[in-house]
Amino acid sequence: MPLTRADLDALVGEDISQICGNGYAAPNDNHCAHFVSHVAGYGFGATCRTMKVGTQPGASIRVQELFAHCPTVGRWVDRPGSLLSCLVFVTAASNVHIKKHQMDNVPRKHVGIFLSGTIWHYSNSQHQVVTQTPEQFIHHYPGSDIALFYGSFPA
Amino acid sequence: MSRSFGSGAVAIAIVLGVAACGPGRRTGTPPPTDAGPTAQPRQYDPAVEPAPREIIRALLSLRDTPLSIDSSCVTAGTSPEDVDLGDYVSGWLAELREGAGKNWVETSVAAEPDPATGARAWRSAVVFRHVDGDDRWGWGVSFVMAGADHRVSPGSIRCTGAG
Repeated sequence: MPLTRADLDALVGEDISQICGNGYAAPNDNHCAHFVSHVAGYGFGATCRTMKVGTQPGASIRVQELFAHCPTVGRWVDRPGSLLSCLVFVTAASNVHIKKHQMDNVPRKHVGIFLSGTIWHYSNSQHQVVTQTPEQFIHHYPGSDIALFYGSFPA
Repeated sequence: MSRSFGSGAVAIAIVLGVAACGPGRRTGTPPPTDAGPTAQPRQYDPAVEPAPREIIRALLSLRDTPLSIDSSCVTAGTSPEDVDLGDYVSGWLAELREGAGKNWVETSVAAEPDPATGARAWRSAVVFRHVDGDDRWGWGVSFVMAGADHRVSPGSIRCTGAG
């Protein structure tokens, strides 16, 4: 079932411990891909159940694995006009190899869900789900090389 | 139980310093098990959990283990060229930055039977952590150490980390 604004808005302000039923919720871990995957139902690659014993379906936890599973990826400025909802990634452009459909597993990379002009993502510093515009999201990390990338939703 | 210690710079010095030392560096102590054909296996009280330095030493012994050992390791390195756990650990240690946020090494241990023998063993982990606002990560390795000699069960190795 497609994600709706109401679904995502209901999660704003929640800590990852309220979202992950497997208890993988340490505040010093990075939960951006983890959040996206619980919401969208992605369970490929390393999951929260790889990290912690649990009874709920495992959700993917690594940004580079989400990127690799997107059917189409590209620079944000090249996003097709018909793609009204998708995953949105922010990292240094040098970490992304679009032709290879690959993102390096570098520290500074982040992912959120884009829907009709708004991005929902997990703020690891605020420990909660927040919303931003793409114009705000690109400033998630400092640096002139930081750029946005899109990825159509994995099946 | 988990324990953490050190700044990033100190952690790098500890880990690389140990790696740089050769066999026989511990005068008056039993030689390490990988010191050569004359080395004697170390023996431990199986009821006593490994100390942080013993867990880190076990991780160092896995340097040449290929990342193909477990699916959680295959794409976990900071470079697509990484082929073994030595590459993986080196890559993440190199990301610890002096003067930016906080860096530390975290070890944890919990009782878990050896997956191969069922004997008393310890699920142990080493995680290298960095926190600087939203630049927040913890990547490492988890493995089961036999209680009696602290050997790592190869089938127990997992690369941990998210984001």
